[in-house]
Order: sequence, then structure tokens, then C-alpha cells
Amino acid sequence: MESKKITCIVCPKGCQIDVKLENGQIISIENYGCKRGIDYARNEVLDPRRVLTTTLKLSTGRVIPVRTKEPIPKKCLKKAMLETKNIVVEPPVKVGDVLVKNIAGTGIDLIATGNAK
Amino acid sequence: MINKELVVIGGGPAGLAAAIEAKKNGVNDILLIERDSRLGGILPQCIHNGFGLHVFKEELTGPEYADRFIKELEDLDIEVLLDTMVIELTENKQITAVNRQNGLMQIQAGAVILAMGCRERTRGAINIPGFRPAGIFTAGTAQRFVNIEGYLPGKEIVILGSGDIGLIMARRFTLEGAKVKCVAEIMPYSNGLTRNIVQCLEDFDIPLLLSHTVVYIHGKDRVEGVTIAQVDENLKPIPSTEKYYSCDTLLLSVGLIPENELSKMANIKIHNVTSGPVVNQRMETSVPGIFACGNVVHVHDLVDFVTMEARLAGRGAVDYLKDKLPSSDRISVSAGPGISYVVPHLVDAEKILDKKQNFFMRSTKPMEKARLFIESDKDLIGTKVLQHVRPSEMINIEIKKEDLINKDIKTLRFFLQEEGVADGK
Repeated sequence: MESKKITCIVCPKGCQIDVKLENGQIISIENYGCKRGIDYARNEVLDPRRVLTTTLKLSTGRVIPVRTKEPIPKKCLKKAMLETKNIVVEPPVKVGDVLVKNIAGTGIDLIATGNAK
Repeated sequence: MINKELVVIGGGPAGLAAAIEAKKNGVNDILLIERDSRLGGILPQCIHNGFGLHVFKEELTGPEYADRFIKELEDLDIEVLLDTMVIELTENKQITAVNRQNGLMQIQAGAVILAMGCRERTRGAINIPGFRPAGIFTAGTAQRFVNIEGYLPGKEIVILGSGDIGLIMARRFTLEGAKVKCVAEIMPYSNGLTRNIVQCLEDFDIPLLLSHTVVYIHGKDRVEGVTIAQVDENLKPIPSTEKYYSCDTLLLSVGLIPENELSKMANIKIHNVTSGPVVNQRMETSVPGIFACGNVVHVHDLVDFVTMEARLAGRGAVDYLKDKLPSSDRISVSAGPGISYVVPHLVDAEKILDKKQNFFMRSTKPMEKARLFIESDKDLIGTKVLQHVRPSEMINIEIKKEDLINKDIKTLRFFLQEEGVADGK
């Protein structure tokens, strides 16, 4: 049996929720403060996801800010960062432009959050 | 001398929203002055998400949030001077500004909105002993290096202070391949949002050392390490708890100070807790016709609240320009026990611009459950139970205009009383 401690971020209280797993299946969720905490803890254990925000190099020097269009699996963050390492973007770029398709094999695109002329 | 109906000083989130709101409400002759070469203030370097949940009901990054306002400003054809520094402001609303194209400019404004924002506290503000090597940065400076210029200022990092920018930079440095050794916080609680503790520190197994501070910086040319010690309840380092951490970079995330050199020049009254101008219900300072909004008034944790406050200042300036009559400062607002400050500090109930007035305040310490009391010199106006109160999370209270009017109230006082937690813990 595996147990995980999850700090809930649904509200500022920050409950320390205990989740117990067996063979990848949740068998119990304890010490939650409200129902929203149960859902949060379940997602955090089974499929934690994050929006990755970073920058890409511009051919003109400096960098352009980007983010994943949707949250990607937390375990893919490092792989995604390594993939962005050698990418150089050619201006012009405007907010919302897709700069990298299917980052780290997640099926999710990396889009520009800034403008470059 | 150039004449302008309204001049906005500062093109960050506060200045942008204030100028847009004034234009939408009928003021045409507006000039926005920005010292940087682009608009947006600090937002372009805040590339993380979490902005706009209140204003746009969606989660944006800083550059995206700024972009929406910059586009609207352009669509409204508001005149902007970039790379232009305001060097003087007088009580008569005369502005001296300077840039490379025009040299020195004298501008007479009908009304002025101050939106200069704030700056970071540095090593000098917290007096850390040791040499003065390279490798000591404020978190915001490091953020600019990484996210705008594209440079990584260090490879082994220690962060002092658990403010949100410090936490965000812990994650950013880690993603870029640097090693963040720890975040030390002198207080027994974090000054950052829980969300940032989880997603910036716990996600990457970065230790948060509460009740710890840096007591010595090692290295002569470049930072070689820091000594961190635990502190007692009086925030004094406890001997024999010192521990050495090798690092090449120390980031400081130890608070922000409103930038009010111009306000002081214009003899605007400054509040001793917020370090920003004393303002009334329409965000007008002690000098009639000069308004202020955003971090120049008090340091915010959410940009959404800056936007709300700036829109109020924009409409306040429109209101003033209509009749040029000063607002009378009938109600004096004060912070009682448990509250460190309340904005606005003065209210003329007759002149409240909406059906309600927002009051922004901060608690003096964390409380799991507390009751907020709003009391006038005549009676108790209301109470409200608040959960999970934190000094780092601003409290926003709305009071109906009708509750403040018609009673000839002279003072309004807000205070917090800690209550027992319901489940008996």
C-alpha cells in the first residue's frame, strides 16, 4: 500500500489530505476539509496536471513568453522543457500563435503569450 | 507648456485601466506617460498563469493580461509617451517630463492619476552582514533577466523570503535547470499564496524553512554560500542553529515599497502603514484633482484588484473634471485591532461613485476563523465571518452607499476578532 499527502489548494486553508493507494487505485481519502478537497486530491493523485509557462528564443535575440494551451501531465514538465531548449522562433509573433505543436507528446500545443515584431 | 485634460503617470496595469476607464467615460484629452520602452509594467515579465480570474473570469498569464489592456488602449486612441520619465510634479498639477525626442517637457494637467507602482526591498532594507559579492538579486530583477532578457543569473540558488515572486522564481529556475536549495522565511508562516507553495515548491521538492533567515553572505567576488539560522519568537537568530548552504546566487523576495517620490514632491499626504497616498472614495489624494491607484497606493497580491481600483480612479478623475469641486472628507476610516490598514482612508458618502463602496484591508496575522466588525461613531454597521484570514491575502469588503449616507457618520472603523474554530480543533 502506498500513501500520499496532498496539500489542497482549492481555498487558502491548505488542508493536508491523506490518500491511500493500492495497485494504482485509490482506496481511501482522509483529512479533507470539504467535498471539493476530495475531488482535488483524487485528480492530484491519479492525473496531476499543470500549465507550463516558459520562454522560447527569438531569432532577433531575447525571448518570447509561451504557455501550454491546456494543463499537461506534471510528469511531462521536464521533457517539455528539454524539447523547448533549442527552438528558435522567427518573428513576427502575436499572442495566441501556436509555436510548438504537440509538446512532449501530450497532444497539447505551446502558444505565444506575448508579441514580437 | 502643453495642456492636457488628464495625465496618467505609469503604464502598468493600474495606469492602463485608469486611462481606458477615463476615456470610456468621456475624457478625450488624455496622455499616458511610461518610463519603460513598452507598456504593461511588471506584467510582461510575469509569464506564469493565474491572472484575470476576477476581471476576465479566465486564467491568463501576465503578458496576456497586459495585452488585452494595451489593445484596448490602442483601439481607444489614447496618446502614450514611452521612454519618458516624469521628474517633477507640483501641487498645481504641473508635470515636468523628459525623453530623448522632446527633451524637457512642461505639461499642465487638469487632473493627474498616479500609477507608478512599487519597487522591491533590497539587501540594504534588511541588513544582511557579509561581503558585497555579485550574485545577490531581488526576485523581480532575476525574473526580468530570465523572462525578458533570456539570461539565467545563477545555477545554485537560495531564496530569502517566501513572497509570491520568490516562490514563482524557485519554480522558474528549477525548470530552467538550476538547483534551488531552499526558501528561507523569517516569519512562522509563508507570505505567499498556498497555491504557489504547492505548485512552485512542493512540486519540485524545494524545502521551505519557516522561522529561518540568512545571517551571513559568503564570497568576495561572487556569492559562494550563505549561512541560515533559525529565529526565535522575536525574530532574533538562535545561536548554534546556523547551517551553511553553498550557492552562487541569493534571491531576495522580502517585500515591496510603493514608489512615491513624485507624490511627496506634490505635497501629497502619505499614510504611515501603506507608504502610499491617503485616498478617498474616488481614489483622490489629499491634493484635489490628483488621484492614485494600484501598487503606488498599497501593495496588492492580485492584479485583478489593481484593475478594479484603477477603474475607480479613472472614473474619479472624470467626476472631478466635471465640476472641479473637491470631495469633502466627511468620514474618516481607520484600522482597529487585527487590521493593519484600510483603503480608502476617507469617504464622502454623497460622492460614492457606485451603489456600493469597496474597502480593501489586510489582517495583522493569520487567523483560521475571525469576525470582522464594521463600526461607525453612531452604530455597528455590520459584521462578517471570515475563514482562513492571511496577511498575504487582501480582504475586500463592499458596503452599500445607503448604509453610509443619511446618518451623518464621522468615523468608520474595521476590526477583526479571532473566533474558535467550529470543529473544536
